[in-house]
Amino acid sequence: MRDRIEFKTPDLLVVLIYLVLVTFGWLNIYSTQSDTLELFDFSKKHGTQFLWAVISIFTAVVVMIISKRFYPVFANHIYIIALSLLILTLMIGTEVKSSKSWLDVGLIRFQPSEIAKFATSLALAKLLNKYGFKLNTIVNWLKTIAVIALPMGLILLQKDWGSALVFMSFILVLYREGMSGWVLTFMAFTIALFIFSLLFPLIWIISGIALIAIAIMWFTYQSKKMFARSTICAIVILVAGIIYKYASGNDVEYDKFVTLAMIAAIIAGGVSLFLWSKKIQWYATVFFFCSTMLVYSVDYVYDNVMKPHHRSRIEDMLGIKEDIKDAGYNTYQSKVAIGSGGFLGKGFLQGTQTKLNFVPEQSTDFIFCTIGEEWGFVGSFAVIALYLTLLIRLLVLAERQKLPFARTYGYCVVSIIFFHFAVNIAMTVGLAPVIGIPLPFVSAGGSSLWSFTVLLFIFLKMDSIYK
Amino acid sequence: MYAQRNIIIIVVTVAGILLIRLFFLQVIDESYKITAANNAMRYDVEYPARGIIYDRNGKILVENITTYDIMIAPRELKDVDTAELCSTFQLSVDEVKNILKSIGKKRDFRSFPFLKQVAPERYAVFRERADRFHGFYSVVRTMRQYPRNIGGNVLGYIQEVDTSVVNRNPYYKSGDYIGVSGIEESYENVLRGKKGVSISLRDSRNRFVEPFENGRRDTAAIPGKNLISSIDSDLQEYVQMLMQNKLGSVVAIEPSTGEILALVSSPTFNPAILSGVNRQQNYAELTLNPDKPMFNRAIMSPQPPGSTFKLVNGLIGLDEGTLTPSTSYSCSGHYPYGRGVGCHGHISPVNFKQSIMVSCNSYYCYAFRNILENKKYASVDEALTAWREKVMRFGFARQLGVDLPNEKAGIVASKKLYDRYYGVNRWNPLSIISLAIGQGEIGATTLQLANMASIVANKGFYYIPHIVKLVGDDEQIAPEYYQKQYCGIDESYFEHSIEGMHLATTGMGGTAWRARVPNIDVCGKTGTSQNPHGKNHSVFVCFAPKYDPKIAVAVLVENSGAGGSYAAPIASLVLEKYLTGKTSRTDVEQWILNMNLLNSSGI
Repeated sequence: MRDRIEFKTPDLLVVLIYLVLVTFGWLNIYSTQSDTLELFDFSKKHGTQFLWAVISIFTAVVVMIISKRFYPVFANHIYIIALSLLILTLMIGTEVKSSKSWLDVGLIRFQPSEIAKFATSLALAKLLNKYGFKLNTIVNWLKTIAVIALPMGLILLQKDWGSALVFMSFILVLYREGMSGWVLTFMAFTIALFIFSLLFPLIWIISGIALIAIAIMWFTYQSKKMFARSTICAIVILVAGIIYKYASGNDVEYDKFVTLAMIAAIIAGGVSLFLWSKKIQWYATVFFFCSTMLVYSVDYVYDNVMKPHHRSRIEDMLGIKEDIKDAGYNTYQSKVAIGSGGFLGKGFLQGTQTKLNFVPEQSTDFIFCTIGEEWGFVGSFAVIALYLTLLIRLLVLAERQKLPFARTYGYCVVSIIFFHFAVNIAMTVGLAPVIGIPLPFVSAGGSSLWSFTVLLFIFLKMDSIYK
Repeated sequence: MYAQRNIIIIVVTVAGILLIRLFFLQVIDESYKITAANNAMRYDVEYPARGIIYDRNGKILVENITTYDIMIAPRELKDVDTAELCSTFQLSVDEVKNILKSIGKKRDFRSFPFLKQVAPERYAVFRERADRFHGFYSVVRTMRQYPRNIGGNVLGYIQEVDTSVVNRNPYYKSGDYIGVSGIEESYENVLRGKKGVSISLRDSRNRFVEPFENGRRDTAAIPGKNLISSIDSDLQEYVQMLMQNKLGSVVAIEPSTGEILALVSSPTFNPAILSGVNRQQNYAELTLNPDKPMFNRAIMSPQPPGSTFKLVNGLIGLDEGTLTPSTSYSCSGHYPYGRGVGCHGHISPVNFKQSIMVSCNSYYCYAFRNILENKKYASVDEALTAWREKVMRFGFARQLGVDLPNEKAGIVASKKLYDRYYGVNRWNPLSIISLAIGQGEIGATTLQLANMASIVANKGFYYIPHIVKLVGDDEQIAPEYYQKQYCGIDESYFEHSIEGMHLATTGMGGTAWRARVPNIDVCGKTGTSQNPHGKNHSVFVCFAPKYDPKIAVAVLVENSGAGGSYAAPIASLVLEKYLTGKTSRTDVEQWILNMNLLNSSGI
């Protein structure tokens, strides 16, 4: 690389937010280490975090100095190095809390899965912006999925569910790069159905789906007569079910009858569809069948695919089982800590819940508890506002890139930070099951801070040159 | 560009949801602030010493000893000197290694028991060398100790509460002990005392920060009260010895007070084995033992009282007027009506006294039939109901109310039962004639039989049998135990029964000759409890001395044959021991002690 050093000022707003978050994070980590007054005790979390912050900022400067051409050119190399590290971790990694995701290198210990995040972002950006590449052939789709799934699979093998799920956030990038919005809708709908079918009786869900399907048909049927025909079929079967129940005294599973009724209605309508073919009505049919199958499969997935501790975390989150001792302990203590903060908070260094160690992982995954307890709603609001500003600013920056590679990469950065931010805070307030992922820039943890810094500053570098 | 817009919408929506949630959590909902205050406060419970149980002569039945659990805090463990551990706790190297291995992997902040219930001597050695064991510390525990190892069924035992108790009774918390069976259960509330509490501010790892409000809210533990049992521990021990290798039960009562002097169910168990280190293993062995040592036969196993029940029928007959002391019936070896009831060879005819002496079956069949066919009553049904009420006043077919848990009521057949069994109006006095001689649809516990003997000894009344005399030093137990319970039969009739019982032990042809004791006037009645599952049970009730009785005894020896065979000699040994402190008939004593009836059930 013969280019002269090309340092241009990065986007100041983003850098400012970055610095504020790192500093604020450090203050809260310091606060969790209650039994020390020493500001820079390197045997304590806040001491090492300070060191890592210095290292990260130094790395950020280096990233800003490295040639603009480095990243697009070496994207795949970095990706392959990251994959190798993940494989290496699987072989010689250190097990911490049943996840084998740490690599011990003499003095320091880091998580290659953190590096994999920006490495995958680079590779994905490179792939999606190859000349002539479009997300419209199966081969291209498979390539794209492979780039994301490879590191994700390796991380899953380390049993680090949280970090693996982060890679799902690239769906936002694919959406920006031409994926149909239906995929997003479909995913959201699947998640909603999954949660609903755990929370409510099957009959409600099936009836809900049926109502939506009927609504779709109503608004799209041309002939009211045909609609009436379908409806009559459905009603006949429903009434038959109810009569059967009272006549025989048997317990009838209503959901089966609603399903049957809908199938009858659809068949009746389907006959008409042959006569007046209209696409949207097929959608309604497909919608109903897919949703129904999904709802019925939830029980299976839930009972047979998921592990007991996953189930108990989900049950706790949904409030199915109030469990404040085992599975729900973390979330419960975390909610107590945040809730006890009140509007203004208890003040810096004054939190009892986090200080007295009631909240586990309080300096890493549950750092937001300390923020909530000591800085109150005001502090929580400020932190969320900072992230929101950061994310929107990054989206604006991404869209103004001339180089498509930089734009795609920008979206990757947004997706990853957004996922971490949303899921981390949601889990501390009991809106998401506990999966151990850190709050970007704030949580204690060297490799996490360093990797987020690199992830962010690679984009800022490209932005500073290519805007 | 609309993708960017939509993503912004998603991001803003998610941030909005989080903010709304935080607003509810932090500003609206107050409950978390209260929880947070409780979270940091630690309630340290002080456990009171459990009450000691003495016998009637001031000898200790149960006391407490202090032992120590040696705990390991894995995170503080370093430089474990195995040899030193071995010599301190007198363990082998392998044992120590095994224990350490089982703990080795656990790396959290909790502590694990290294060795449970270490004796004070060993603990003293450990204390001396404590500085050499990093990560080891001790927790004080109190344990029940039994100086004489007797009365397992009477005393019961204590064990850690299970969740059902915790859910039912807020006093108990997981890890507390509660009395199970025996006096430990029935006097649990007295024995346990009251837990105290000291409140301090702690962090989540239970590290002390400071006392809460300088200890103003703390309460001191109130020790449990001692109990003085009515048991005579020497007698109890002697009876247990006599009952060795036999199935059955013995109850001895002081008639003038209702105090239980000895209550033995055999086989029994040594209560100490449910207190020590091997508690769980011992408990399992006890539950698996087919002879059920933990089952208190004396109060939980109703059996037909056999001929001992003739006392009750005779007295009811006299009371009804269908029988007089001079009524005589001749017996030709069986009662000839209905299906017939066999009898045995004896003098004939017999009057009331003699009928008790020789235990004539025919006599009581006549007597019982006369009660049921008494013209005073409109029907046999009515007569049976009236008869049953009188029987119940003798303490049958109902719980006596002894201060021990799980007392069984037993049964006495009623009109309802026969109507169900035979059909309404399908039965008559002859079809239920076996009640005359205490067989058939009738079952009484040994305690009820001893109580019946008490009633005869007292000539018409009893005190509810009880096993605890005093609470603390002078506090009385529940008032009902001090009230005379009358059985409603005139005092004068009892003279004849007592004479008959005396003749049974002393007269020519008396069935209870084996209960004859030199220099003591013993009044007794034998019985044979018919057992459809094997050899009959031998039953005997008695009291002595004849004038001013001091002790009433009931004995039931399972699968041993007629009442005179084993139950009578055992009962006589018991009352002689109690009255004189000695045994004059050592040959009888030796015979009983050596007798093994465990495998003679005849099934």
